[in-house]
Amino acid sequence: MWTYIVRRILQTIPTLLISSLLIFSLLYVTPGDPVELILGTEDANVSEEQRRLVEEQWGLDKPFLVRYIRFIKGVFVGDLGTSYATGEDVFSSVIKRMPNTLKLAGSSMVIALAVSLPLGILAALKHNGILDSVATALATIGVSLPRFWFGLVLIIFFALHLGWLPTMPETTSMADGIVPFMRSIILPASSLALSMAATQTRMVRSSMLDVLNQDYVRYARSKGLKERVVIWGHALKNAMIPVITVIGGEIGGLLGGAVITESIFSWPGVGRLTISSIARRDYPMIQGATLMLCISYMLVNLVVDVLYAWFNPRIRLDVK
Amino acid sequence: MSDNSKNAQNRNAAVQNQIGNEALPLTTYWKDVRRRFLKNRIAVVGLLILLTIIVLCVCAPCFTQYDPMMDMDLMNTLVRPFSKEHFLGTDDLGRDIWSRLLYGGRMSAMTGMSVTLLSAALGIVLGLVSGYYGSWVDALLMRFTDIMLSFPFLIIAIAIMAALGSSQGNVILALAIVGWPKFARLTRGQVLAVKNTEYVESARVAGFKNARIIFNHIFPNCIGPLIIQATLSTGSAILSASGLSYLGLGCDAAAPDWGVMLNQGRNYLQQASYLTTIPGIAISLTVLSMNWIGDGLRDAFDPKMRK
Repeated sequence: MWTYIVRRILQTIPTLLISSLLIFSLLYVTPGDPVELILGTEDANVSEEQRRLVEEQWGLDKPFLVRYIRFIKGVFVGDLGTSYATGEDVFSSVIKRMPNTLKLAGSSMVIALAVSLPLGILAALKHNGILDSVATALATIGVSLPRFWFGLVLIIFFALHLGWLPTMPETTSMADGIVPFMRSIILPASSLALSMAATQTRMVRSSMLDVLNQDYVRYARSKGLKERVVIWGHALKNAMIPVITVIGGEIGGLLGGAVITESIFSWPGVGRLTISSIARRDYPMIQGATLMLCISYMLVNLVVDVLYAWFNPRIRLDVK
Repeated sequence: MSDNSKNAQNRNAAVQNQIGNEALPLTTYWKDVRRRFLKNRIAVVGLLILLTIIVLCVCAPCFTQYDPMMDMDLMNTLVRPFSKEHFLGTDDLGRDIWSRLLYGGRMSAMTGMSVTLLSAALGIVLGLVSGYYGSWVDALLMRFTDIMLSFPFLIIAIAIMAALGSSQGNVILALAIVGWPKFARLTRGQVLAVKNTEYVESARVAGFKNARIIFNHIFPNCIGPLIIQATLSTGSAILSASGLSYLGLGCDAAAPDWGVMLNQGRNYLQQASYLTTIPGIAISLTVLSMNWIGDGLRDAFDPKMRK
């Protein structure tokens, strides 16, 4: 088990390095003069003196590799530079907003599972029935709708038309009361959950169908066990194995999708920070926020893989 | 079941069509695929919807007399849908939404297809090379592919757009950069499956060059799954592109593009929600029909997979 975990962590390192290199060099080659951005003077003349001072202070005069290495070192000690626009520390602004993004992603995963598990299982049990067709159709529609558009439709209907829920989050912390928190998070989380719920429903259904045709299920039935026992005790657990693998990949999709969802619902997370920094051309902030999103994505995948190996010994013995 | 009996009939027919010792094949692989596809009702509906959308968008000037960008009518802004002059109303600058929708479809289709073509071209070449040559080439390329696959693709696409600036070309580039690894993985898997078959072996014995074996003997056998993947990838590229445009990171803000239209609509959610609903329905219908077609193709290419 431990060798598996170590190997899996080692595999993450090149991925992290390449993604950080990609993000860093992308924004390095971006046209635009950082000095002017820092000074906030778009077209006014910057004197040579001033320019040299700023470049020295921000380390802009160093060559690419030096700056990249400093960037990487900074990741480990929690120093991702300072925002051009606000002068805030990038690392702490990102970290401050990270819990909000994780809350959003977590809640939408709960919603997605709460919808897809029952729907997928029922569809498989009533294979080729009406419920099956409805679930399959819903799943295909769910993958085809743009998530952010679904969010806008939710706002139009529930917030503007019916007036039941706020258009902007009232609070992002459960400490302010569970009801305002739920009222605030339900719309963004549902809109983010849409495509995950759809893919999961399909996955649960086909995996359940697979298992129901296995010999051990037939044996359990022929033994005279009650249908309920067969399904809950024998079929379901095995059907969940492929589903869990897919969940890992989907969580990453949630973090990416959160970027758009947060912008729609003004949810103060890392995604919204990224988008507003792009508008302000605040490059250190864009770098820091996207890198932290990538890192959390990879950490989540790491944890899922390790948990998966824990529950399914075949994995860790297989990958030699 | 009916499939089997049909096959049996075909076989009987084939026996009857024998001339001497040569059997005349009544059905080819592609005919078979087409027959199975056309039997799938949902896939055919998807195809019809998509064809309608394509005709409407390609022949856009026949279906609307307004220009999507130039015909601003500031006296008639935010006209509701189903009015006499404007079938789907007008936007905040008095431009006809129906015409913007039609011309916007051209942009979306263009984006979706270009992304798929680019990422498929890159992915297929890398996948073929990787699968065919094996050893360290394979290890290196696939390790790189895995790394690209383990990126959160939307975040990377957003970072690329932030660096390159917004334009349709950059959207295509950004989405192709994050899109090719799936094609590479898929192609490699297919290559590995047919690499050691007898006909590849005999091509090699016949002394054909590697390039010829790869493109004439191996590639045609990978094409089924790749067509399915291309259909699904076009749909998801349209979705991602509209998302980027919505964030203001996609196409030029004046262009008629479905994502851009959604972006404009968000300031009028209260007064004119149709600015948001209409382009969204257009995107959803397009992507939905593509997904239906993709599912239909999957069943048609591989009847064993059907559940």
